[in-house]
Parts: sequence; C-alpha cells; structure tokens
Amino acid sequence: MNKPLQENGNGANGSVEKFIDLGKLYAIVAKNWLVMKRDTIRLVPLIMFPIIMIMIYGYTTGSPPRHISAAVVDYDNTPTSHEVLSRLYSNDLFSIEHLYGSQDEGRRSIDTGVVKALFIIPPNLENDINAGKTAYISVVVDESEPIIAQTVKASIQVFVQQLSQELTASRLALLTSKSTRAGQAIAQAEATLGTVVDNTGSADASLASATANYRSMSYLSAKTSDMLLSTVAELRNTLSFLIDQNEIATTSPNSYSASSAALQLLAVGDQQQSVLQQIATYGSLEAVNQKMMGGGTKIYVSANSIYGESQKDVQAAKVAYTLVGSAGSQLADIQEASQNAATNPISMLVVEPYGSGRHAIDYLLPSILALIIFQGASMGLGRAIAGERRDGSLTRVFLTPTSNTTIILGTQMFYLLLESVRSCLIILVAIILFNVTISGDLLSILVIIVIYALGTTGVGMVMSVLTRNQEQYMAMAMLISLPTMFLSGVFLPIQTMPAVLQWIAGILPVTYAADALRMVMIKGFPLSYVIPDLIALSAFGVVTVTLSVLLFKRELI
Amino acid sequence: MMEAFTYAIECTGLTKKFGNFTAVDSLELKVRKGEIFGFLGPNGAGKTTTIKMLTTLFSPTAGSARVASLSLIGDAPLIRAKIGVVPQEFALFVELTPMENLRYLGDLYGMPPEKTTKRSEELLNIVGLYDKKDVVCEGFSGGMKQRLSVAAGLLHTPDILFMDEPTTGLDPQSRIALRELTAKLNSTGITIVYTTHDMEEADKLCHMIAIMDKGKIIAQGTSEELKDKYGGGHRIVLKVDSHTPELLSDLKKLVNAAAVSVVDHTIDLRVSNLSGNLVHKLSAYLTQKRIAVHELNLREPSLEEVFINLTKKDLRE
Repeated sequence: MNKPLQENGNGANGSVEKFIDLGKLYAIVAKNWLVMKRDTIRLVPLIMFPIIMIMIYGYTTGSPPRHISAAVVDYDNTPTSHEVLSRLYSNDLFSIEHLYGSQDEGRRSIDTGVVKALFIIPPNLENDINAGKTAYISVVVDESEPIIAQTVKASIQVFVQQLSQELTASRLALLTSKSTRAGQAIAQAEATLGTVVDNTGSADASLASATANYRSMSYLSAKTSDMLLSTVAELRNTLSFLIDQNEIATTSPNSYSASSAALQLLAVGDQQQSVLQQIATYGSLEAVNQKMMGGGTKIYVSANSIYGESQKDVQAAKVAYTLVGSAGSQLADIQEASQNAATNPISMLVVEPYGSGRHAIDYLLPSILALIIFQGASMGLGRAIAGERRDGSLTRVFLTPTSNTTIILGTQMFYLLLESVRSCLIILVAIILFNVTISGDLLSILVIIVIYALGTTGVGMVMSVLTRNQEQYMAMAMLISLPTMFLSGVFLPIQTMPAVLQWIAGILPVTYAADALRMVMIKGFPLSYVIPDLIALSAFGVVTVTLSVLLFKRELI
Repeated sequence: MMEAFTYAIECTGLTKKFGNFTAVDSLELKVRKGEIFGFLGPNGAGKTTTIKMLTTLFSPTAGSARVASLSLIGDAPLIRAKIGVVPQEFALFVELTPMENLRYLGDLYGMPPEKTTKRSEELLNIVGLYDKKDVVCEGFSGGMKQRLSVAAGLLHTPDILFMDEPTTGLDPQSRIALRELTAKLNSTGITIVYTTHDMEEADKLCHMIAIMDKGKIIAQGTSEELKDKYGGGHRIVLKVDSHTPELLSDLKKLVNAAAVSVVDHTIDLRVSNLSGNLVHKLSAYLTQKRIAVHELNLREPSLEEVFINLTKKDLRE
C-alpha cells in the first residue's frame, strides 16, 4: 500500500527550508544545465563564442604589427639607397609590394589603398649621408586607416632608428678600415722615404769624394804632365845641342885632332843616346799620366750619373712626402666623418596626404559607421521574424494571402530604412559635436550605406529566419557580431592580422563598407573608385536576401 | 454539383507526419456549410495540426482536402482569402491599437483602406471593443484580446471561421460572451470550425461534433447522437444512510439497471432510459422499505462521459 501523503511533510526528507541547501542547489544547477543543453541553437554559439574570441584576441593583440603593405620610390639609386631598400625589404614591419619610378605613381597606389605606406628616397641621399648630413626619407602614410597609420608611424620610428644605427655602424666600420689602410700606407711611404733619404745622403757623399778625388787627380795629372812635357822639351833641346855639336865636330879641320874629334863624337853620341832614352821614358810616363787622367774622368762621370739618379729619388721622395701629407689630412677627414657618423644619417618625414588639421574622429568615422550599421542590423532583427514567430503574430501574417518573399522583403525594407536613418544621425552628430570634415558627397555615402545595410540586415534576416525566438537569435548574433567588431579593422588593423583572420575579415561586409566609406568620406573620391567594394557589398546583399527567403519556413518543427 | 456546395470542408486521407510520428492519420471529414462544427479530442489528438493544415499553415504529408471548394494543395493563397482564423495565441501586435492591427491585416488581405476602416469599426462594435479601438493592446485582458482576435479573423468577411480553443484561459463571463458572439456570427451564415476542451461549450454550441484521438476521428455526430451512442445510458444516483446487498439487488431488478456501483453511501444505477414510471416505482419501493434518502438525482449522459468513454483519457494526462 501507498504510504499516507502526510509522512512526507515531517521534515525528514528535506522539506524544511534551510539557508543553503546543497542538495537543492545541485538540483537547480542540474536543471539549468538540462534546459540549456536542449537548446542547441543557443548552446553552440555559447560554446563557440569564447573560443572564437580568445582566438581573435590571441592572434591580434598578442603579436606586434607586421607586414604592412608598402611601396618605394628610389630617386637616389646609389649603393646607399639600395642598402636602405634592402633593409626595407628584409624588415617584417613592412611588406614592400611595389617599386615605383615616380612619386605620382606611388601616390596613386596610396589613394587606391593598394599600399598603406609609401617611402620616397630623395635623389641626394648618398651624398648627404657621406657629407655627414642627415638625409630625409619621406613616408606617405594613408591616414584614412587610422590604426594602420598609427602603426606605421610608430613602426617607422623604430625602423629609422634601427636603420640609422645599422648605417652608422657599417659606415664606421668602413671608415675604420679605410683609415687603417691609410695609416698603413702612410707608414709604408714614410719608411720608403727614409731609405730614399739615406740613399740620397750616401750618394751625395760619394759624389763629393768622387769630385774631390777627380779634382786632385786632374791637378796632379796636369802638374805631372807639365813637368814631363817640360822635361821632354829640355831633353829635346839638349838633344838638338848635341846634334849641333856633332856636326861641328865632323866638319871643322883645325880642331883638336881627329881622334879627339872622334872621341868627342862618340861622347856626344852617347849623350844623344841617353837623351833619346830619357825622352822615350818621359813620353811613356806622359802616356801613363794621360791614361790615369782618362780613368779619373770616367769615375767622375759615373759619380755624376749616380748623383743624378739620387736626385730623381729625392724627387720621388718629395712626391711621396706630399702624398703622405694628403693621406694624413684624409685620415683626419675620415676621423671627422666617423665622428659625424655618430649623428643620425637618415631621418623620416611623415607625410599625411589627406589633409592637415584633421582629428582622429575624422578618420575613424567611416569604420565606426560601418561597424554600427552592422551591429545595429545584426543585433536588431531578432524582433523581426524570430520574435514575431515566438509571439504568434507571424502566424497571423501567414494566414493572409502574403508570400514569403513579400514578408521577408517588407520586414527587411523597414530595417534598411532604419539603418539608413541611423547612419545619417551618426554623421550628423559627428559633424555637430566633433566638427568632422567629410570630403565626399553625401549622396555617394548614402548609396554605400544603403547597399551595405541591405547585406547586414540580410544577415540579420537569415539569423532571424533560422531561430525560433529572440534568445536563440541573440546567441547567434553574438557569435557573428562580436568577432566582426574585432575583425572590422576599427580597433585592430586587419593588415597585421594572421592570414586566417585576414581571410575571415575578407568575407565580412564590414571590411568592404569601411573601405568604401573611407575612400569617399576621407579621400573624397567619387563612387567610381569604390566599384569593387560596391560589387562585393551588393553580392553580399543579394546572397543574404536570397538565403533568407529560401531558408524561411512557415512550418518550424 | 449541389453536393460540392453543401460542404465547406472535405478531407480525404489527410495525413501529417512529424518524422516518425503521425499527428494526423488519414483523416476523413466533412463540414457542412453554415454549421458550427466542434472538434473535440484530448491534447495531442491532432486537432490543432488538422486546423493548421486546413488553414494552410501546415502542408499535409499525404491526402488532400478542399476548403471553401478550393484545393489545399495548390490553392493555398486563395483559401487564405476565404477563411478566417482565431488562433490559440493572441497573434496580434500588442504594441499597436486594435484599429492599427486591423488596418495592417486589411492591407495584407489586400482590402481597400476605406473598406478596412469601415469593416473594422463594424467588427469592433460587434465584439464590444469600439471604445478601445485606439488604445494600445498591451494592457488588454485575455477576453478583450480574444475578442479582438475574433474581429481580426472576420475582417475580410471569410466564408469559414476557424476558432482554435478560443475560450481557453478565459474567465466564465468572457467564455459566455465569446460563445454568444460565436452563435451570433453563425446566425449570419458563416461556417465555424470550433475546437475546444470544454464539453459543455461544445454541447451547447456545436451542431456537429467530431471526436478525435491519436490522429483519427473516432466518433462523429450531433451531441444527442453521440450521447445516445457512447454516453453509457442514464443514471439514477441515490444517497442513503446505509445499504445492504439485498437492497442493491432489489434496486437493480426494480429499474432494470445495466450496472450498479457504490461509493460509501451513494448508489449509482445505470439504466438505458428513464421512460415510464421508473421514478414512481423507485420512490414507492423506497417508501415501503423505509429507507431514508438524502438525495435522488436523475442524470442524462454528458458529452464528457461520451468523451471519456471514447478516449479513456480521464487519467491519461
């Protein structure tokens, strides 16, 4: 038999109310889990959401900005400018995608948003750097994308500092090796000069002694020659006297006797003999003397030629000396240059092409606008279909002869108008409160907004059509709208995100809308410049509207 | 030819499956023009699914039906113009006023605005909401909302009005008012398909009643026919001080009862009819036996009994 009901009421089974009842606490927790587990449409976003968010945060905020697309115009085209170029290429802050021949070309690519930064290397870069002056590289920054512009500006400071340091270091190294080599050359030249001077000295000395020797020798030789010649002349006189004596003796009759004459003749003959002998002797002495004189002259001549050679050496040494002098002054220059190198050889001039005196809000407005329209449309359409389905008012519409397409388009049309009005309001407030400057014409802006809002309200419609109530809708909307916020480029630059996130950003309509709005609102371009964006946005609108019509089911089981 | 005009709704083999579950199983049903057709059945019997199919909200899995002489398959938008529906839920915009709601629906029905306005005012008069026509529905009571819902269902002057449990959740006064309104509408010639849980309501209101269970119609007829056929006969209920087995068998013989049941001091005798002098015989016997009778009740079979006998669902839910 069943126990009487009253028995359960005695408190033994936990029916007494406690301040905290762990058993009941558990029951409440378990019940909530069961309720949530059954609602898959809500559960999946709830679990996916934190995973997606942490991925986005992790990938975007964790890593420093990198690979900002940039272009270069090199007017200098020197080894130094090539060095700057190679630094730019190897730097991962920028990804150099184009090398333009002229500034105008580069500027166009900034205008069209192909690159976000343009480096212009001036024609006198190398000269300026070599002259110890600071060379200025201009950086044109697309400030219509404020996050990227900021990143570029900040990155450039780092880059320039690095570049300057590296350039200085390499320049110093080069100068040092140059000065070392110059020093070595000077030392060598000085050593050579020393030997030359030594050699010249000894050549001078030997020339002097050779000259002296020659002089004394020629003096002696002359004297000897004189003496020998006078002796020979004397001897010739004696000889002719003797020859005369001999004549007399043979021709005169009353002279002493024949015998004595004969004797005399003999004696004279002897004397003659001896004189002739002496003449021969002195003659040969003179020949010797002449011979000696000839040798002396030869020595003198060679000494002279040696002297001449040594004079040449001196000349060369003189040239070497002046060279050493200039090398010294060069060395001094080098040292001065290396002192100059310690100051920055390169500096960056940041150029903001789209107007001066603009505020940050001017540049942010297009992105903010794109984001708000997306947020509004994606978060706001829960009431539209899902909400009406929940409260039954959609059933009433189903009971009228009204087609699905009419219901979808009619509902969406309202939100499209709503978003357009909201956008105008945002622009109006921005103008009134923050004095925002808008370059493009308002009609173009409105065209972009309407095409874009078609897509964003389309996303909302798809979600609204797929969900049964606003809770499910909100869970799904969160899954889409918060990642969109972070990938929209409003808070974090898309360019510097990892490839996967960039790819996701590439399929988000907000990316195209922000781009188109920037082009028109900040850069003041006509709609023809943003045709690719408009095509993407239109395609998105068509796809979402078609999807929402196709997915719209009257019967939800 | 005349046959086609006599029926507002004809179903042949109408079936609706949700996955493996068959909610409505080969339904055969005919609703004559101008009648109030009651649709009874326990929860989950398939009433609402049937109504949703007949009102084009659900498309049938198999079978076919003609509503207002139009095929359910293919002519759905045309049918929608011919039928009005009062759904279970309010299904209107609480943020709007009755007039705004009706104007919106009028536009969706493709009615000219002047006509919508005229008809709306007329209907709001009928349902007694004319003085609230420009008040936002947010604060309306259940009865007011239901009456507005009826007005919305009638806006485009439909041939058939489907009312899906319109009195559920209403207070007794509102129920009676709505029931009277329904009868009044029917008197103008409109066919009404009415689902309800309230047997008394069905008994009083409906010309024809179909009882549905497990996706099939298990009985159909007028209230009287159903009671005669499935009511289990009339009952004589006596409340006495005490009773003996002899007394019970005597009583059974006396009234020729089909069954006797006793709960405490109450004796319940079931008889096929109360004809002749059955009550006289009974009172004479009781007087003779000096039995003190506190209560003597003669009861006709109720539709509720019919319902319970047919569906055996009194404790199912």
